[in-house]
Amino acid sequence: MTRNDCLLIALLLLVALSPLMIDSGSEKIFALIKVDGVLVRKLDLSAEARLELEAGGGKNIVETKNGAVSVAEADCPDKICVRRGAIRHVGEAIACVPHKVLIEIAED
Amino acid sequence: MTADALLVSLSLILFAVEGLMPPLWLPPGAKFGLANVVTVAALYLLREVDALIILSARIFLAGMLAGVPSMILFSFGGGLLSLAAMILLKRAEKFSVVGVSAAGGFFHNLGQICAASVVMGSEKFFLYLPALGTCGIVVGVLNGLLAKAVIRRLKKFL
Repeated sequence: MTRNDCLLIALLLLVALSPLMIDSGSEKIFALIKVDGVLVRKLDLSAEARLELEAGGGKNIVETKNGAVSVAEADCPDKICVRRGAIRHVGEAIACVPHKVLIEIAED
Repeated sequence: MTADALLVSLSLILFAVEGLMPPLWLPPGAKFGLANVVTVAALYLLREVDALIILSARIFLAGMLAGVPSMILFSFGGGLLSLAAMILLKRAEKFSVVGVSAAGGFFHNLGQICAASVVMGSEKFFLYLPALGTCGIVVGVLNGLLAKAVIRRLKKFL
């Protein structure tokens, strides 16, 4: 293997890895919060936020942190939404059926 | 022409043998591509047009033998781009067999991603380039080392 070969391989590696560099900045991911099917809030996952949500006669506290969203507290009877934990990938969702709250991750 | 036919059958054997090996550490969709050793060797031992004939015949026959004709389209996308890149780099006369083969491996996978993007109509396939492209370079280097040894030994006969 010659010096030119090494340069060529380094250049190719750079091209191969380029989608990683472009991608990290351009893609914004949001948490869409829907109550009874209606979109009420859109949270940017890159920012930290805590939101008190009055819905279906109860309260859910939605938190965004470290690029993920979770229901921190809720006064629904089963607490399934809280136990679901944090979600961060497009297509994942948290549902709180008693309060008709649905949190989905979506791309812009 | 006899040498071409011989090398086509050789590359088909390599293709079949590789299919028998268990998948190693490679990510899904990536493979070693042993048959490309033949393409690289042909490029150095015969004329450029012979390498093209051998590559095209292998892709067509391998697709038919494996029973996956749709594979042919993706393989041509990768194979032709890879061969074009290797021919240009070889003509530049600044790189060794290993460097040329590494570029061939990379462009093979890039070509397949391009073909997939066109067929499926989505540019998202390029997100797979870091994994597939890097694999292509690594197996390209290994194939290049193998091709170098093959070329040295076959030079006396072809």
